[in-house]
Amino acid sequence: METRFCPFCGQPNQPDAQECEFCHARLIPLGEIEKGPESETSSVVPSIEQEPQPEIPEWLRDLRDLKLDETEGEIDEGIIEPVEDLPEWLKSRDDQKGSISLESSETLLSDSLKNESIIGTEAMPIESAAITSDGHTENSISSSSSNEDSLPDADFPDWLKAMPGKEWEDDSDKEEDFFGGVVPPFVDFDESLLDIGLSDSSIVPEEIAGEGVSTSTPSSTQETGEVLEKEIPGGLEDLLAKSMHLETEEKRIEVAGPLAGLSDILPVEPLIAEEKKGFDIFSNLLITEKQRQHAELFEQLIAEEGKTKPIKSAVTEGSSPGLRIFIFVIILAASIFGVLFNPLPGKPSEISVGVFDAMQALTKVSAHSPVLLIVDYEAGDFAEMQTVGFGLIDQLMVKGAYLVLLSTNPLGALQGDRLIRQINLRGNHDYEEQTDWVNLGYLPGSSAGIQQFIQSPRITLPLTSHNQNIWATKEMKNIQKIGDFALVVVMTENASQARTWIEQLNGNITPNQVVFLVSSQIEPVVEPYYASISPQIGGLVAGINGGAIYETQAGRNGMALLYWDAYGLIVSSSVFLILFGILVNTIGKFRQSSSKKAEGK
Amino acid sequence: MNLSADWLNFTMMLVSAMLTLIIFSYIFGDHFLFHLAVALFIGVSAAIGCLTIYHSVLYPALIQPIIQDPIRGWITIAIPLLLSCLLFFKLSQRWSFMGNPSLAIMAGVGAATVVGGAIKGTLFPQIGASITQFDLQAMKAASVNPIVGLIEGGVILFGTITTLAYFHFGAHLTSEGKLQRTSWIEPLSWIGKFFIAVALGWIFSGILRAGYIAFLERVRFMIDLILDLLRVI
Repeated sequence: METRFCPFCGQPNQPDAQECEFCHARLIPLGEIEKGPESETSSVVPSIEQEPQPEIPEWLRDLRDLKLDETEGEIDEGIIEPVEDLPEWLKSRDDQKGSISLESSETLLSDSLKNESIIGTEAMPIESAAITSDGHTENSISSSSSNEDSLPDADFPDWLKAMPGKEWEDDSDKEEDFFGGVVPPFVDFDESLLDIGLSDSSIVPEEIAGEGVSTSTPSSTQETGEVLEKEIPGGLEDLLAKSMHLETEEKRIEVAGPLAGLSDILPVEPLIAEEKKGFDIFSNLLITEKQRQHAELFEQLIAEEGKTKPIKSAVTEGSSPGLRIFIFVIILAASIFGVLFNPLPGKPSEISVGVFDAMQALTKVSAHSPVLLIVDYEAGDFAEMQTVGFGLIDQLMVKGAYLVLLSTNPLGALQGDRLIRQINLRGNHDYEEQTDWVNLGYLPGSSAGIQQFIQSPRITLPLTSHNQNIWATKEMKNIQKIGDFALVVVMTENASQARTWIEQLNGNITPNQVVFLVSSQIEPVVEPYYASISPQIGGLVAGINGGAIYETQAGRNGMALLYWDAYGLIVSSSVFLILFGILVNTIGKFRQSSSKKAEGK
Repeated sequence: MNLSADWLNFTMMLVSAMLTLIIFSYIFGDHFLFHLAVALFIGVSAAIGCLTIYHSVLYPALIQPIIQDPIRGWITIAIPLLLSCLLFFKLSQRWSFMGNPSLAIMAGVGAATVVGGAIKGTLFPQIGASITQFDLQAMKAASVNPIVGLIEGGVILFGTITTLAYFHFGAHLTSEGKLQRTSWIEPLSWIGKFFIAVALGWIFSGILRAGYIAFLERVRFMIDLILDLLRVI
């Protein structure tokens, strides 16, 4: 179904609609309305009857009704009988034959000309006519202005008479000053416009010509039109023709929109109101190419945000319990075999520089020298840490050092206690708590607590885990800061904890007094602090490998050497399993790809 | 010989062996006993932690001063006690803001020590160490071949630069609309992957070895227990 688009708001409407549903503007221009029998009359009322509208002023409705009764069969164009409710200036028009038509046409002309020019306080409709006309425009206007005195004096309303610079005849018989002496702005016009070439009243409506007004009706619209075509170019000609046309037609009353009920409304659509397009120069944003790319990128991101991305179905492999059990059996068999039979003879023969430096650091430790042993590892790593630290702690016990245990881990204090007892038992030492070693317990506060302990250990931990004050003993009475200890040994499997201790000890103790016993999993993290040209730690023993080397060099069979054979066997089995798995996977994928190729062919 | 102590040790060894076997049985799949063993471990660890904190921190810092000298003790612990009590407000959603001062102090002090230590203890020394790799006099003092030392220093420096380049994520938009890093960073980043892979592989092997030792220790424990039982029997 075709839709009729409103020329004002552009909204679609029904094809048979008269007015827009949204803005109530006329959809059918006045020029397109078909002329009916009633349209030939010049009365106001018939036009209303043809298009009845609910919102017509009452006075206008009455006027129309009156006209219907009184003007039946009247054909005379341009004659409007006076109505009682009409304003005076409109009534005065009825007295003169054809004057109303001329005035209306003049009004139409003036209004239409006004619309052609700038609409403001000073409407210059006739000026545009003056600009576009050819030849003796000014003279015609001036001559027409000079003929104003010859115009019939009874037909001009007061507002027209009150034009500045004009000499009007006495309007004493005027009953009402419609505008109260105020000249409407649209009345002002340039006198030169009078010279528009309409001086020939025989072919030009007398109201427009302004000279020698005759009562002849502008019936010869065609002749007029010809003259207009000759002398008046462009849009003005159309407007004048339209005004002429409107004279012979009925007065059209606006029935829709805000001007409903008013007559002599110039149709805006589509002759005058042109659909103007926006300026193209303002439709494109002034942005750089980079900004445009960024904007497009954002648009893509926003557009993709709401889209649900397809989830790739992951290829799930089975849990493979058989493979897990197979690997477990291999590892278990290797460990049992290694523990029971020690198939791999020998001990580690290589010399580690870190182990060597750690052993060198112990040379400064004498009997009853206070050695701070920091135990910072979890219970699950006890097995490895005892293999790492057995050699060095055993050697400290051999030297008779006074061990002071400390931990920043709540469970570390118990781990340290267990470690000392284990080494004491394994190494056949006779170390007793409180006399040969003490446990300061848990050091709270993480890095802040460590720093406080480094600065003032007595204040930070005044009592041991058994609530004893050891700072007054002969071994501890000279300890004021951490640098007063003969040696500081840090045991940890946590990389961040190791780094924290190194950073906090830096500058508060000489590097040669610090030895780190670490798990093999954090050896890469601690190695740079030791291996630099200006090391921050004096010695480094990492993993069971370092512990085994230490024990070998020290000539003591500790935990590291106890597990060395089985450890070697397990590692070898693991290497074998890894290589076997790589081989199986590679062969399997090769066969799979070859089978796919065969199927593809 | 203390019979009760021996029996207690023997009982604890049996319990330890049983728990070890339960953990090993996880190889056959998840089951109730494994969850029980894990829960037991977590519970015991938490209990020991709480007791240690109370015994090492709360009692000597908050309770003992009051017992020894009430007036002076209260003065000593007033501010720490107040800040500690404010932390309890964090449990309430409405009054959680009351605990902000305590958290602010903890965060501020902690950050200060960590940042200061990191800058002074790690950043500057490690940068200096990277630079001094090319110190010929230090090489001579350490009896290191200068050529070997320079090669080692070059490899270390190259590895450091390429590893840092890998973590550079600045990119620009190409004419085709794709995001791409700077042309000279891309190849360095690609090489840095190998150094990172080597470091991660080293760390992983260390984790693996630590696990082997833990497994080995448990296996040895079980073997020793079985052998002791066989001897008794």
